[in-house]
Amino acid sequence: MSEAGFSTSAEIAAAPAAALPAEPGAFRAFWHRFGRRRGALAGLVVVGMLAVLALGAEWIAPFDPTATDWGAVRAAPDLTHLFGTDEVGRDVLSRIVFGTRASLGAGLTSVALAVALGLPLGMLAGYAGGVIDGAIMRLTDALLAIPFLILAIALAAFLGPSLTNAMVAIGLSATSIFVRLTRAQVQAVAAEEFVEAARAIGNPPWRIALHHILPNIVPAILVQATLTIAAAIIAEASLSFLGLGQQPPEPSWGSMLNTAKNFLDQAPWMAIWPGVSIFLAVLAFNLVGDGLRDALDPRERR
Amino acid sequence: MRPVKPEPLLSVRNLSKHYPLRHWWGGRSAVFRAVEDVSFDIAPGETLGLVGESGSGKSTIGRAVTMLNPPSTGTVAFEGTDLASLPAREMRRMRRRIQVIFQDPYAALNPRMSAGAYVAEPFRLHRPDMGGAESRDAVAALFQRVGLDPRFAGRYPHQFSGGQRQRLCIARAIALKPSFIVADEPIAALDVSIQAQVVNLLQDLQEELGLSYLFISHDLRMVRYLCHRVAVLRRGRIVELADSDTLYEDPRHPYTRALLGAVPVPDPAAERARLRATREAPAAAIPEAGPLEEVGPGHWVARAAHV
Amino acid sequence: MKASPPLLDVRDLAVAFDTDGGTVHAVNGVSYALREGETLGIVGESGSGKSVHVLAMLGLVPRPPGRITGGQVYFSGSDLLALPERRLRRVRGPEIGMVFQDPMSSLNPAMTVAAQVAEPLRLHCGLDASSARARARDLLDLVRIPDAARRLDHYPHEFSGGQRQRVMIAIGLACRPKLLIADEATTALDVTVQAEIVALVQELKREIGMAIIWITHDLGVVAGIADTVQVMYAGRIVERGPVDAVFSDPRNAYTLGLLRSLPDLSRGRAGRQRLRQIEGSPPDMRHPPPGDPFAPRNPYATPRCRAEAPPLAQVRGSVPGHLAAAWYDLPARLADGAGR
Repeated sequence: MSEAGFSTSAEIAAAPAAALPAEPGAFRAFWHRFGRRRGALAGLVVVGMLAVLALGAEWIAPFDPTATDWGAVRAAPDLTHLFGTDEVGRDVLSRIVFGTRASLGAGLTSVALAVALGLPLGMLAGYAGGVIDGAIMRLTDALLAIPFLILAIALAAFLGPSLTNAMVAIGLSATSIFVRLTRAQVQAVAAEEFVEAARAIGNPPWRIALHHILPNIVPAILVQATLTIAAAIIAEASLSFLGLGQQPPEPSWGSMLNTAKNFLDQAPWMAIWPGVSIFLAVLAFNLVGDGLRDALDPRERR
Repeated sequence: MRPVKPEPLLSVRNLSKHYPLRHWWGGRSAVFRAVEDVSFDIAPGETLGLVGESGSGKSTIGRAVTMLNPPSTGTVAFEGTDLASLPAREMRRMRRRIQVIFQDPYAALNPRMSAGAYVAEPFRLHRPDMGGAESRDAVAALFQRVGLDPRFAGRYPHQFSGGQRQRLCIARAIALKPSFIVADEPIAALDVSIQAQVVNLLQDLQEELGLSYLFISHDLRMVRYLCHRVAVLRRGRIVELADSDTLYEDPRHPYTRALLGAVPVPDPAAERARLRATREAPAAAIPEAGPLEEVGPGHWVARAAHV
Repeated sequence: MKASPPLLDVRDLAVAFDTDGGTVHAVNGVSYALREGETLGIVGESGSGKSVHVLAMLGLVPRPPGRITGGQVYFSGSDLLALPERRLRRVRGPEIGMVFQDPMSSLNPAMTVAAQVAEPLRLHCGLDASSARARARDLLDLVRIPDAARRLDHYPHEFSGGQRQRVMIAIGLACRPKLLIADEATTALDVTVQAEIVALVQELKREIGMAIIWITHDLGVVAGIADTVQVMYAGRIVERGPVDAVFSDPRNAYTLGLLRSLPDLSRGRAGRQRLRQIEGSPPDMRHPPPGDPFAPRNPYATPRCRAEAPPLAQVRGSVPGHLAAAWYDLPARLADGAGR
C-alpha cells in the first residue's frame, strides 16, 4: 500500500461508505419513537381534531353559537341539538366548537408570549451570569413564589376582563417557568465540550449562544411549552369561569361552566360537555408533551 | 536557567494557574495550585509531549496556552505576541492560527450541527469572503484529507463512529491551516484499532502543513512515538523535560522512572519479568519538584524542593 | 491434565439488543471453558461483546432491550441462564465477584465503605453485624488500604480513585468467590495506579487461588497476568490460547493488527516506521458484514472470508489449545508478503 498520506486516507473513506447502510432521516427516527407511544399518538389525534374545530368552527358548528332560541331553552340533547341547549336556547355543540377557538387560542398565544419573553431572558441569565443573572433570577424566584393561577387571576383583574387580557395575564404568569428552564438548560449545555470547541475556533459569544446553545435547548423548551399549553387552557377556563376571560355572549368553555353551575340539576349537559372538552384538551396536550419528551431526546440510543 | 530553544513558535514562561479555595462561610481563603511555574518552548514543526497522571495539570496547561482558560500568571507568547494581553476580538482572530483537538469526540461535536456545517464553521467565522460553493468544495477536500467520505457531510454526529468523529474534529482544526494545535488526549477515547489511524493522520498533517503540536497524553507509548520532546508533569510542575529519546532512555527524575516503569509491555515474557521486578524493588520516595536544572544539553530535571 | 470439569463452561452464548435502528447482534455464539484458578484475559474493543457476554451470563443485561438468544453457561455444574433471578443473586457476589470500570459510580456515595464491604458478608455469608465489620476491616487490609480500621467509616469520596478500586476488589472478594470478573477495572486509572492494582490482584490470586476473567482493551496488561488470552471481535472469539503462543504467533489478522499497531516503548524516533494501522472502522452490529466480520478490514482476507464465517479451530503447528478463526493461513500469507 502507498505510504502517501492522501491515498491512505481515501482508502479508509471508501470502506465505511460502502459498508454503512442508509441511515433513516432524523424526522423519521423521531416519528418512529413518538409513534411507539399509543398515548402520545392518541393525544396528537385529539389535538389535531381540536385544531380543526377551532379553525373551521364556522363550517363545523351546526348553529350560530350566539343565536338564542326561546323555543328550546335548556333542551335535552336530541337529534337537532346533539349536546342540548343552554339557558337562553343556544346550541351547546356549537358553543363548544367555537369555545375551542378561545381555549386553544388562549393556550397557544399565552405560551407563545411566555416563551418569547422567557427564552431570551433565560438565555441572558444563563449565559451572561453575574449581576444580570442575579437580577433576572431574583425576579423569577419572586414570581414563582406566587401560584400560577393566583398570579394569572390577579394580573387579569388588574388588566381588565377580556380574552386578550386573559391571554396576556396567563402568558406573563407562565414566563418565569421558561426563564428558569432556559437558564438551567443553557448552563448545562454551556458546560459541554462542544461549546468550548466552538470558543476554540473563535466563535464570538453571541454566535455561541445562537448557533451552539440554542438549538440544543429547543427540545426541552418545546416539551415544556406543550405541557404549559395544557396548564394555560385550564387557566383560561378558570379566568372565563370567573368572568375575567372571554366576555358573553362569545362562547368559552370556562364561562359555559360558570352558567351551567346554576342548572346542574335541571340541565347537566350544560356542564358535562364543556367539562369533558377541558379534560380532553388538557389530557391531550399533556400526552403529546410526554411523547415529545421521549422522542426528542437528542442523545444517541443504543 | 530555563529550557530555551532559538526562535520558538510558542514560548511559555512561568505559567501558573491558581484556583481560589474559599470556605463557604467566607473565612480564610486558600489557593489550589493546579499549575505552578511552568515554562517551555515549542519550535515550528515540533511536537512537544506533555505527560502526567490525572490531576497533574496537563489539560490545564493546554487550556491556558490557548486562552480558553487563561493563566493566572506568566506569559504565553505565540510568534512573539503575548496572548494574555490580547483583547477578546484580537484573540478570536488569533484562533485561526491556534487550534485545539479535544479528548472526547463524542462531547466535542455539537449534536445538532451537521458534519459539513461543523467543518465549515471556521470558514464562516474567519473567511466571510468565501462563497457557498467555495466553502462546500473546501469542506469536501477536508473530509477527503482526513479520510472521510464527503457524501457524509449532511450527517449528524450520532451517525459517526468515535474514530470518524475525531477525524471531523481534526478536519475542523486544520481548516484554516493553523500553525499550532493543542491535542488534548486525542486518542484516549478511541478504540485501540483506531488509535494508530489517528496518530498517523496527525503525523501526516504535521509533515504537510508544518504544524507544531502540544500533544497531551497519558499514553507513554504513543508519546514516545509521536513527540520530539517530552515534558513530564507532576502536581502542576514539570519534573523532567528532554528530547524524547533521552527522556525514555535516560530518565533522571524518580517520578519519570516510576511512570515509565509502570507501562505494561505487550510481550508476555517481558511483561511478567517487569511485574516481578516491580514487586521486588520497592517504589522510591518521590520528592516534591523544585526548580529545573540542566543535566545535559536540553535535558532538564527538577531538583528536590527544600532539600 | 483434563481431570476436573471446568469451573465455567460457556456454550454458544448469543445476545442481541433491540434498538430503534434494528437488532444489534452483540454476542454471536461464544463458547469457552475456564479452569479453576485460571486467569483468562479477554481483549477486544467497544462493541466486541467482551463485556456484554459476561453481563449476560450473570443476568445483568437489562431485558428489554437485551435478549439472550441462545446458549448455556455452566458454572459449578448449573446453567446460570436457566436459574431464576433469586438463585442467581446467590451466585453473583458469593461465588462470582465482580469489579467494574468506574469505581465511583459502582460505590454508593451515601454509604460508608464499611457498610458496603460488609453488605455481601451479611447478605450471603450469614455474618452478624460485628463480625461482618471485623471481616470488612480484614478485607481492606487485604487490598492494602493503609490504616484500614480508621478508614472503615469513611465515605467513598474520601478515597482516591485507586483506593476506590481497591475497595471494589475487596467487595468482589468478600465471600471468597471462586471466580473474579474484572471488567476494564484499571482503564480509568493512571498507569502507576494500574500497576499497583495489577500487582495486588496477582498477590490475591496467590493467596486465595480464585479464577480470574480480566476484560480489557490493553494487550500489555493481559500479557503479564493472563494464562490464557481470548481476543474478541464483533461478538465472536477470533483467537484464543495460551498467552505466550497467541502473542508470539498470532494466527488471526485482527490479533496481529492489534499487536502491530502498538508503538514500541523501547524504540527511538530515529529509524522508526509509520504505525501499522488497522484500516476502517469496527462493523455496525445492526448490519454485520457477511462471512468473517473482520474481512472488510483485513488485508489478508480471501474470497471465502467474505462469504462464510470461519469456525474457531485448533491452530496447526501451534500448542494445543491455541485456537483461531481464520480461513487464511496467516504465517504463509505474511511470508508471501500479501496485504502489505
